[in-house]
Amino acid sequence: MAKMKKQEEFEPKIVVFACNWCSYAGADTAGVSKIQYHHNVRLIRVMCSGRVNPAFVIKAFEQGADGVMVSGCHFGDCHYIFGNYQAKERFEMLKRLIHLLGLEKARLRLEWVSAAEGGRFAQVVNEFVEDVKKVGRSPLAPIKT
Amino acid sequence: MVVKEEVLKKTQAYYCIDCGKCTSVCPISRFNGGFSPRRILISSLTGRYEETLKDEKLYACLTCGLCGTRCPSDVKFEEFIKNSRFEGQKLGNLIPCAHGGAIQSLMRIMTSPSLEQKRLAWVPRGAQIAEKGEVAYFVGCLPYFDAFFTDLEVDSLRIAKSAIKILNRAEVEPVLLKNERCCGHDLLWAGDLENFKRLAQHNIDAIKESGAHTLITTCAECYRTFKIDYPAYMGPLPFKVLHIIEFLIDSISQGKLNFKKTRKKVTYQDPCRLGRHLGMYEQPRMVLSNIPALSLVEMERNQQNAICCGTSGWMNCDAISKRIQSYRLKSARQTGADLLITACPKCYIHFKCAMKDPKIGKELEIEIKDLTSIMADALGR
Amino acid sequence: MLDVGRHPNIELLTLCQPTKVEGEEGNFRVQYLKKARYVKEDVCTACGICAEKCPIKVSDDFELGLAKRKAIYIYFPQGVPPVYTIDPEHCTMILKGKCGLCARVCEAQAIDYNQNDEERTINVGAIVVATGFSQLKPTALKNYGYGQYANVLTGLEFERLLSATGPTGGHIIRPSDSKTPRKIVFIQCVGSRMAKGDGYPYCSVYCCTNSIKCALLAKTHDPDIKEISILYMDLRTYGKGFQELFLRAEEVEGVKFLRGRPARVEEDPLTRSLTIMVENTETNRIEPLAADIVVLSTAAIPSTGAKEVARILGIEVDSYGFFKERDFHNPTEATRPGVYIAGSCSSPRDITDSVAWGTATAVKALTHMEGARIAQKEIEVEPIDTSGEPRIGVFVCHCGINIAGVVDVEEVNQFAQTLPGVVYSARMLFACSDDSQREIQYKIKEYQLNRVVVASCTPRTHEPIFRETCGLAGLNPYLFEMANIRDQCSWVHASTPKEATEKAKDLVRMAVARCHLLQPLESRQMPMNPDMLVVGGGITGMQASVDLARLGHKVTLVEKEERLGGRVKELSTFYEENYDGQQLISEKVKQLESAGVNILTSTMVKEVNGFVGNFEVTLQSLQHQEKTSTLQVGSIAVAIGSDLFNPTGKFGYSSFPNVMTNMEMERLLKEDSPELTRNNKESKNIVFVQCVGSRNKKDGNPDCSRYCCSVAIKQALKLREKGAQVVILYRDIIAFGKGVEELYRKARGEGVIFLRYDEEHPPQVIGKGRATSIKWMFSPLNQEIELPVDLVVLSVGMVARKVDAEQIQEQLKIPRSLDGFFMERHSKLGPVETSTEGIYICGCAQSPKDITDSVAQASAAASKMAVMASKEFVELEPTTCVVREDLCRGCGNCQEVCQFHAPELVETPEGNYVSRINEALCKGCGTCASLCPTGAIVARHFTDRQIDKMVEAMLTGSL
Repeated sequence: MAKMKKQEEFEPKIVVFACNWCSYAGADTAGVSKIQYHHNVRLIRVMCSGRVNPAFVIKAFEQGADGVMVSGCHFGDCHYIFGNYQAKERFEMLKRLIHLLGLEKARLRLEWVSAAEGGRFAQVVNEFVEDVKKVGRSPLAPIKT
Repeated sequence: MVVKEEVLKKTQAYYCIDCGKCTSVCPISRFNGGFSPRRILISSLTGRYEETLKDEKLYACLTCGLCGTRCPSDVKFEEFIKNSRFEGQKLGNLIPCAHGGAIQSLMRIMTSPSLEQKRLAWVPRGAQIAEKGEVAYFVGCLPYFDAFFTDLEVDSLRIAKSAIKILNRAEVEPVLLKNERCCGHDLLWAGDLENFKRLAQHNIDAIKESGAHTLITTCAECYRTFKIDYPAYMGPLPFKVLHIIEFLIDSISQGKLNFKKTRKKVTYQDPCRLGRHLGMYEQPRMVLSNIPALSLVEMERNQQNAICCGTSGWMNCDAISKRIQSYRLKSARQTGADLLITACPKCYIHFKCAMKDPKIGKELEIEIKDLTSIMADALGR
Repeated sequence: MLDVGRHPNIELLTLCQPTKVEGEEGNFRVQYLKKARYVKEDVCTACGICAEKCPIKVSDDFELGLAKRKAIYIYFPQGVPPVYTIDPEHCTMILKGKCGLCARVCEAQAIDYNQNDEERTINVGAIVVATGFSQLKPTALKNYGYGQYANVLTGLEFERLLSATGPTGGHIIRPSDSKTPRKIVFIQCVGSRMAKGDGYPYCSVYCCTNSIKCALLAKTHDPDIKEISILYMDLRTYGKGFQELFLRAEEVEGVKFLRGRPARVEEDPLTRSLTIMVENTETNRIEPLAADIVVLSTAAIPSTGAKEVARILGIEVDSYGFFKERDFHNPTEATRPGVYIAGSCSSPRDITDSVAWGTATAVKALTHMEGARIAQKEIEVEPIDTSGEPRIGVFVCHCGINIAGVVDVEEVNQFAQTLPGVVYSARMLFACSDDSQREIQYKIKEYQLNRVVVASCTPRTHEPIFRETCGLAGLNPYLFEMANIRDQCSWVHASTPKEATEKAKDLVRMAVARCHLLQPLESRQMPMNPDMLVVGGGITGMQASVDLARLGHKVTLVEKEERLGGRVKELSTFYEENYDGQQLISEKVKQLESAGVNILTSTMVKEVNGFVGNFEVTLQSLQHQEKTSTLQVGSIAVAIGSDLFNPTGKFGYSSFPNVMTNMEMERLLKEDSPELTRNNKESKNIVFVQCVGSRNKKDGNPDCSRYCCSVAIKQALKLREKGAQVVILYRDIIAFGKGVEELYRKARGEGVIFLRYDEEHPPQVIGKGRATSIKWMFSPLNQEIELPVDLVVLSVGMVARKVDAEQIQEQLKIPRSLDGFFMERHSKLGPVETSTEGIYICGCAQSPKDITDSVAQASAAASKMAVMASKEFVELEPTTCVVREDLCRGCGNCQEVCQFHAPELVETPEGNYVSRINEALCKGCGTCASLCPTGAIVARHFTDRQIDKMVEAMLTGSL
């Protein structure tokens, strides 16, 4: 008897917080250039990566996100000068918390993507999705609040 | 409405004689004229309980129990608040959380059965700990606080390291639970009974599995939660619960520990959970008195009358909390002490946070240490 | 484009052609022919049914013949005004009176076959000509096989293949067999830089960078495209960030750059594949290159009919047929007063420069108008009640086939109807079209919608449009939310339509979730101070000041040196003009004085407070340190210029006295120094080294410094006149401006020797005490060459000013790019604006430029400031942060983190401190809100709750 239906591939749910000026625009550039990438990500637009309260990220994991990415402008390119440095600082704290919780570090990512870097946006998303697929479903996935 | 009656009855709210003593002593009311425990009770008794449940003020109460010490009718106000918050949770209330709700979220994450935390990386080399044994040390949320409050220069893990040092010196090799969860105190007091129970069950199971018969904590809140709330909501516990203060008293009396001279003038902040909730006023002072040359000076308001650190359960942190903290820190400084001792990591964090103030921070500054840390530091040979 | 279509002060006359211009500046009477459209503009809803039914198929001009359109058509989908047009050359109803189908199907009854061309007149004060350019049809250049071989395309045709809205929907295919090409070869300079034959002698400027961009897009777009080569002579990546683009193409994406100009393209008649023989002038090998597609970067040529336009307007054209500029420092003025030229109609230009030029003409045109004010749209509408439960309307856009081609739009629409709070949901062909906008307004009123979601494209371009639409219907514009199901779904998940549809549903659910929590916000008005400050008294700052003062504005010009004129005042004569830098500056100073500019030399900006419309500037005298003064202005232009790269320690500079910078050479030329002239016996040997501190990964400016090639050529020509032997060592001769390529050719003709070196093997200057020779690896001969030298001239790059720029950045809170130059708001669309409203940048402060480009940018900045000053009030964006003081602990985190000094700790009556945010200073980034421990700071329109709710909606499906 032939093998049963192949086990359905795990499709992670990934939240991306993208700053309006660079990363969200970079995603637009990917769009305009029709650069294809994995469909697993959902973007949430914020004005600046510095706006991303660590609580947003923790709550996303709580609600079962398999991965969370924060994406802002390259250093020196922040529309608000240093918002991305703040994002970086907060991100270091998040990394420690995620580690304590025993979640794989592959689930959390910080990236700088400029408005012009549509290709890079797609590439970063693809890498992230692949990485998250490797570590599998989040252990928190079924949690309800 | 059945629920309402049950809450009012259980917490003796029906006995309220509308005298206002509670409000006159309440630290929140002192700085916020709009807050009145009495009015909350009276309006609940006169058919407006639904409104009470929806009012943000329900979450402003520190549940510090100060009103309870004065109430002539013995109304259990903090119990009333807690039970009302259970009702609020059912209504889907939005709870005013500090830090964007991140800490509550971490706690809810810990209810997940499949979680495998990596929470013991901080344990110092050479520390003697076990996976199974008679005595377990409940670390609590300290590793998380350590990661979360880096900018406040709060070394939360120092408390845990100190505890291990004391236990080892007293020839106890404590069990540290690899996958211990938050005790659930904050979720319980926010009204999230369901998730509290999940956390409690995880912990009870883990402690049972470790074979421990005694559980030691260094946190006033963990202590109250294990001591009062676990039995109340989960049934009798198959292990004994001690605050490290009690362990210290035992060990000292058995001559297992001695302390070196520490020439310091200190004052002590009674945590609400330890003091008014459990009546532990004398023991911490007794423990401190074992350090030679240490002198304890009391703040004007102490023991039963002590003022709370201003925030509880990472809720209701605001301008009023800050003013309570400022008041308390100024009292501490007025004693002339070099050091403020607390026995609850949260008092420690809240006071440190209050000092972070570019305008009046200088007027509030005083060194703070947890009681566990100062005892460990003073350990003699 | 939409902005132009919607602007209250702009009347669009499309399908019109001027026929006669009478009068003079300030009072022109223009006769024009309004051509028959055969469609009533005010009636047509652009529903598209006419084009669907029209039986006549015609080659589509917009798609360059790569696709078909109908005889009734819209030139391209986003065109403004969105109105159909009948092509009278193909419509059988117009030609023979047969058909009439479109009139029968048009429900709006917009078709009118009886329209005739009409003569009309209009009175205007000034005329701006922006007729652009045409592209050379390379059919005449037979050797490249265009028009003969199916797989030889022009650059623009290739752009259409790359375009998502193009004829192939963004798929790159070989025209001969519709297969994905594996190898693509770009050939540069097709018809450009040709001194004889069927091409043009000048450089077309934009094509090098454009080919790099296309190569990058193609490469990242389709992994099957394995090899892309660009065949070039000089790689003219002259603009800000262009070098970075080139490096990315070469080093990251592996695009092959081959220096060589092929003579012909051959086709294999069986496979229709192509072969190009090219000599790689770097390896000296002749390489046959195979290609599936060859892209010809064709020349930009004067637009068809430019000469006719010139005749009608009474302006002159140059020998090619581009409009003549008055002179090099009045580049936006045509030869007839009151007529201005912008963009590529006077010389080929890229988008950035065209936008700057276009903006610059505005301030010039304004000099002929009095009291121009932006018309305020006065609309009285019944406001929609927003207090009750959310009543959400969802509009799901097809974007033609852009979305609907992948995403199941109807499924998304059905899904939206199931979401709580949604009381109306519908699909739309183009949500941004005029008729859809009216439909949205109508539905808002009909259903009393108090929240609106449009699921279409990106809010970065379209949110303002939909917000305005909501406003027109009486709905507060901040109760609007977009779901980007085009850029984030259909365009990027084209091969997985099911998943793209699911994602679109998620995005709609998230948008609806956020919508529930949106609050109406009101923008506030602050008075606008019409006075202006210009910082920096070089040619750029002077030009901006003159332009503004001529409009009657009170302008203060601050210069830290004792004299105005910056670097320009030190320049020797401009080539082919008979005056020098000092004369140019003197002329400008006269203009400044007669225009009444308040000139403050030896003065620096010490402090700037306030915000757009209301800046308070503290100035400090550099001669009397204690002397400060304050100034109130509404807008500020930063024109602090750049520094020159200091080559100390490189190429023997500072060790040998006869090694100098090009600026030092300029002084010698100005003084007519005897050092430069031939002594009795021999000619002087003078060697220039180009790209010293430019296009350099380590030192100086990472980009091209734009001015140095043409300056070296100019200096070389002058030195030749004095009898010197001149050699220019270069990497690429970037002779991109108007007339520069011609000058380059002239220099070669005069015997200036140009020799290449590459970045990895820079020349070495050899000598003892004095430089005596220079040697380097010369790749065409594959050997080291050593030349004797009497003088070495280093063409140094421009670098950002260090101390000054840091101070200005600090004082004005405007960001700088990684290269240290001030960062423009948008590299293409906002070249003179900054992230801070009311503060503009121009000239070399933004990036290196020559005089022509600097003054054009100066006028562009002046235009923006004049527009600002024409407003009575500044509208303050309400999407700022606010503090709930009852929650504030006074920790100061916000004050510490804010780069714009918006939060401030203030004392309360109770004696504690709370933060208060100055909404006029707040830029709404929300970083303070994420650092606030208690949640006291509310980032309006991006609140914690709104963001949490979106996350929740995405992950748990709950609303």
